Amino acid sequence: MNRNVFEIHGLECAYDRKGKKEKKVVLQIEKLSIPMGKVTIILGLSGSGKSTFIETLGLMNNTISKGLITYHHEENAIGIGPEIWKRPSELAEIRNRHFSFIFQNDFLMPYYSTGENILTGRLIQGFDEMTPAENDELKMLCLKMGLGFDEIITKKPVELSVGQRQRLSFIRAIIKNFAVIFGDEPAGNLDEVNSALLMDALHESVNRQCQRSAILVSHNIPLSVAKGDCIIVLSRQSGEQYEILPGNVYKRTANGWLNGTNEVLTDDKLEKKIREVVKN
Amino acid sequence: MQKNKSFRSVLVSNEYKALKGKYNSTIVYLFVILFIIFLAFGFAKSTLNYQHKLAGDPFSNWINLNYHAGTRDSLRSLNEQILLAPFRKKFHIKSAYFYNKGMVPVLTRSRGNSVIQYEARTIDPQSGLVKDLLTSGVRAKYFPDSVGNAFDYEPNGVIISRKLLVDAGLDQRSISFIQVSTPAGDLVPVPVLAVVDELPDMSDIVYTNLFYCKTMNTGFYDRENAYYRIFVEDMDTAGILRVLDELYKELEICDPSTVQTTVLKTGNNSVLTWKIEIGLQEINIPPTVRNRKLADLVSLKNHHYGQFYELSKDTACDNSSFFHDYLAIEFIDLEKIKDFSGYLRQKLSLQLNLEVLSDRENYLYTGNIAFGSIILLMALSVITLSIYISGIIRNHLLKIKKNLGNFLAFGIKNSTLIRLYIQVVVKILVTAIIPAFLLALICGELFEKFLLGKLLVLDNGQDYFSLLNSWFAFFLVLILFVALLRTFISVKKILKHTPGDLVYDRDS
Repeated sequence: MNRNVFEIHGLECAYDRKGKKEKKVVLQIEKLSIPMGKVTIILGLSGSGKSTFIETLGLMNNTISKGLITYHHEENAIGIGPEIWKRPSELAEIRNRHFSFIFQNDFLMPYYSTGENILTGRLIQGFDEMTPAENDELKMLCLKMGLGFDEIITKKPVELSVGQRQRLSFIRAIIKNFAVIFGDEPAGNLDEVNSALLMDALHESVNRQCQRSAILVSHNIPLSVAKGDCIIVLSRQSGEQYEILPGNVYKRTANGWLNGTNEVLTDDKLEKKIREVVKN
Repeated sequence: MQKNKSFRSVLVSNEYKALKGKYNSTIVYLFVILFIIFLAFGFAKSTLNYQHKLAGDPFSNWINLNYHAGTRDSLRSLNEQILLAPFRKKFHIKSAYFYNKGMVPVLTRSRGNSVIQYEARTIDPQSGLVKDLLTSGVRAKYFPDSVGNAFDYEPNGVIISRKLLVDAGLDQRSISFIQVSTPAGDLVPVPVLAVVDELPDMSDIVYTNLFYCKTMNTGFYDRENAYYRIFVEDMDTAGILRVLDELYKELEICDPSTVQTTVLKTGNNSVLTWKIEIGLQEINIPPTVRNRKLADLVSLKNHHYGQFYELSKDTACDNSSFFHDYLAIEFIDLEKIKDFSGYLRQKLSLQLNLEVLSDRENYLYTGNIAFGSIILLMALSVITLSIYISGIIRNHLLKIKKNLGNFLAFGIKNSTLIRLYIQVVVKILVTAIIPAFLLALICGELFEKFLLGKLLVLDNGQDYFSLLNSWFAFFLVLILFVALLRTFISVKKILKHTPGDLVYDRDS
């Protein structure tokens, strides 16, 4: 079985430009593997293409102008290229069965109850029944995230704080059945304590099933170094174009962080190095 | 196992609540718009019905020429010409025949049981006019469908107008005769063959030349040569004998052998009808009393009596002693009517009254305007409603497009979301349409009954407000179809963006 959830070859992500035939290339990745069963965090400056990258992987946007992404699940491999966007039902099916998403904004439906909002992901998957164990688990998860289930369940999102809504949106994403969860700054609106709680809950969810993976975008370097299993740093190639170099992909090992050039770094050194790469 | 609501029910119920607005404002506005539209439609449709009725008047293809001493020769000559096929073809004439007008005294219960003279005219039983009369605006028929011509069934019968039916205080479900006064002042039950909305020449009674002729000669009815015809239904032979005993007793006939009686089986297999005819010569009790006795028997349904008439046996009449009143000419269409008018003026020195034609042209013109107006009203209504609905949906979806992007990211299909939003709009429309329809119906009917009905008097049976018709059903379907189509387009237009573009609020 392949131990990588995504394998990328010669990828070029680009957007259409108004009034111009040529697309604007924003990200180039020559070769990259994202490990399965791990929490992978993508770091980089604002506008470096982090969101574009996870949107592309999560079939949220068709930005592939060149190259191929292969998604591995169990014994199957699904090729993700521009062609797949011609089959919208298949795209929806893959997103439904395999992926889950957390965004910086909660995107809770304002006039749905909290309970209905939490269950949206599962309901869309067709799971409109919960076993007592699943119900208890949900209550426990809410408790871990500092939310009293019985207190909030009938409230409307507008009655909750931004942080509470962010955590609810996180719970909504992880109680959905998924193989890969994508997060675009999922802890962006949370304080340090709640961010750490969120990352711990995410790790627990990913570790519960061996083929689950998480791919997050973040600006929080210390949290990423503290809680990530794999860190990918986007570096500027030229102008507004960014790339991922083998030396900027770090994997946590027993001895420290190991990158593609076999350099081993401690947490502090990695943090320092990431800041240097991001600055440039 | 805890059962949760399905995504469909969560989305449909919540989106319905969101879209119906604060204090149900969307539903209320929609209800008001629909109510006004339905009311306008109801009045417009009744106007159209009225114009169609006027324009489609079956008698409008008939021209009547007054037959008197000054025109007698010319009209006889014209009638001879009309017998020739080339002449008929030239002026698009179908047929022509002479007829008479007269008055018939009828007992009217609604006017204090007084006898009122009603206008009557003769009709050629074989003419197309009889068929025209009995194809539209027929309220009731009292002769079997298997009989081709009403007057073949009963030449002594009459066709009456709805106005006379109402005046006579009769019920079209149970009417079998009108009571006509004889010159001697007796009332005779005359069989009614049919009740229709309108009769030609503003008449209330149409009868045969035989009936008219007898009226002109000896009174329409010769009691010395008359008999009762009584119909009895659903009875076996033994029962009929009992009925005869009962009839003899009621009519105080001591010796039945002195009375001419015939009993005939009629009717079809499903309902066996017996026709009993009893001569009147040996009956000594006054006609009014015996008629009332028979009427009482007929009114008792458990006695199986269907109906009864009093008929004269005369089937021939000498009409040589009097003249006709009019020559009626039936046209296939009125295209050549002006040429025909010129022919009459030049060749026969006859003046044709073209008012009928002019009226018909006016009716057609106003009918076309009414038709155009109702079509425009329907189009405007459909456009207004579809713009209103799609505007509401579009604004709502734009507000929540990031959330929709999130739903799509979770893997819901565009087609599913479109289908669910269509269900929401159907729910909103139905919630507004049902009360709007009911209120419009009630208001329209009340308006018609208490205001318009008192201010304006149209023809009998003409509605001022018409909502329960196939046009309205089509109109409703059109409203639903266009509103749902606009919803489909609005939702599809928003969902054509990728989930990423919706979530990150990108334009493309």
